Amino acid sequence: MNSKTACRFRAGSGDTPEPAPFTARATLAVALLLSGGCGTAGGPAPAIRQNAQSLRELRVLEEILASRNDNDSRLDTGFNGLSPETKALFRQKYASLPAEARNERGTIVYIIGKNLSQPEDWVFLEEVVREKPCLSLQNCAAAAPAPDHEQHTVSVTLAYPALVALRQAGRAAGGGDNRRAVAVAEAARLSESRTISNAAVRLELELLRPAGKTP
Amino acid sequence: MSLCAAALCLSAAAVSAQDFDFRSYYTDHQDEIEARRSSMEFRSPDRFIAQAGPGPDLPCPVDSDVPERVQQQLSDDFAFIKTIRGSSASRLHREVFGEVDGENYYKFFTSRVKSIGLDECGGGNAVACVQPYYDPSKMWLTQNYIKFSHPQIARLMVVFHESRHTETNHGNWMHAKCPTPFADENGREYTSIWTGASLAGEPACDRTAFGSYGSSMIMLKNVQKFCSSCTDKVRMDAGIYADDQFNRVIDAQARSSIRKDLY
Repeated sequence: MNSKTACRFRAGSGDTPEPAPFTARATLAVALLLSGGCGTAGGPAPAIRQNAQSLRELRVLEEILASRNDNDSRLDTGFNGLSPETKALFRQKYASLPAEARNERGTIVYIIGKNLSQPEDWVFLEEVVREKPCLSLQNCAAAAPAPDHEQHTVSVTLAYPALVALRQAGRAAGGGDNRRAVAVAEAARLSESRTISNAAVRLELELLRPAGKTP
Repeated sequence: MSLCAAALCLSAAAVSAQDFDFRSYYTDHQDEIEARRSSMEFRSPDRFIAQAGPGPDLPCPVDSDVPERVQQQLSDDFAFIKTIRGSSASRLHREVFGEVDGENYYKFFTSRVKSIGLDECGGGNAVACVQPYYDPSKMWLTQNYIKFSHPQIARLMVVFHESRHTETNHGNWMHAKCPTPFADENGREYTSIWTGASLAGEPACDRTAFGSYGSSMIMLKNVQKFCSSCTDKVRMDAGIYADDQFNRVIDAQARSSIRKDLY
């Protein structure tokens, strides 16, 4: 994620009914430090509004990521109708994670992808699919050997956050206006990753297909 | 040299031009294989003394040198798989696994894999392997099982893929060489993500729906479609990996059979 400007952390703003626990404050502070800011690409950095609910949701997210349990039922029940503040915290969390944390990053994309209520949510998906391809699971910046028979798994995991972004964009496009989803697919189609660009082409074909036609 | 079966990723040169043939490989490399087998047995005597019994959800005995974190992750992953319940199952799934049910998956695995050890699986950043010549019912995991950040269902796909390779009565479901050219739906050739070399002619495909690629793909596609105890994320992940793995099944009839069953 691309953010250049410093961000302000407004403790106690909004409807904060209680002080954030130390661990949550520390988590957020670390996230902001690691991310190097809070803005989305090209835009001014928005102030992060801290409120108890958002911090609780961030803690739940962190628990799930640490557990490496993708079947945690809170992924279904706990992250619906997220507030803009929570989603901003989650985007910061995404930016704070190492690029090699493919499943953790993809999990955050998944959650934001089921809460696509604001333009910045769609911008986030576009940024994810535009990321520089991850070249290896031990170091995204450098290619490394991968056995032929495991390459199918590795290549999908390397592309995983973007593939989740495409799936979520496709799901959200179920209604009439597909323009946002098509924009995500168009951005992904230009990816240097063949796995991502192929998935983007499939989604575009699906989105642009005349109603009632099957491939 | 390594013979990481799932991979059957022996010394690359040995398999680059033809389907892998265990018998001729053994004949050609008998001394090397026997030397390694000996070194594995005597190098560290207690390395191969399996623990008294599997941990809470470990599917089978695990060598004492398998790091605790790897054991814990394996236990967590199998605890998850045992919880799977399905509302239905496809025909091919019933043929291979039975109904979509955690106990069926657990039995499938434990009836094939009798112990788990730690190895590098030939290096090259593998996650798991089976080395039939050393022990056809043993699976080897590498540290990458916990080091790499795969989604949970993808880790399980790898070990179920490997478990299929233990079946000596089916020739270990050896892989077929990929066709030449080996191109995706947009006409772009599949290449190694490491070297960029074409995968055409490499033993990284299956001709049957029941091999390691096909069976684990059938498992995941059924999880996507029918798992009633899985989170939406697990089902989505299962679909993402299954759809990609389908590309490794190259025989037209096998593909048609899978397509009819699952798509």
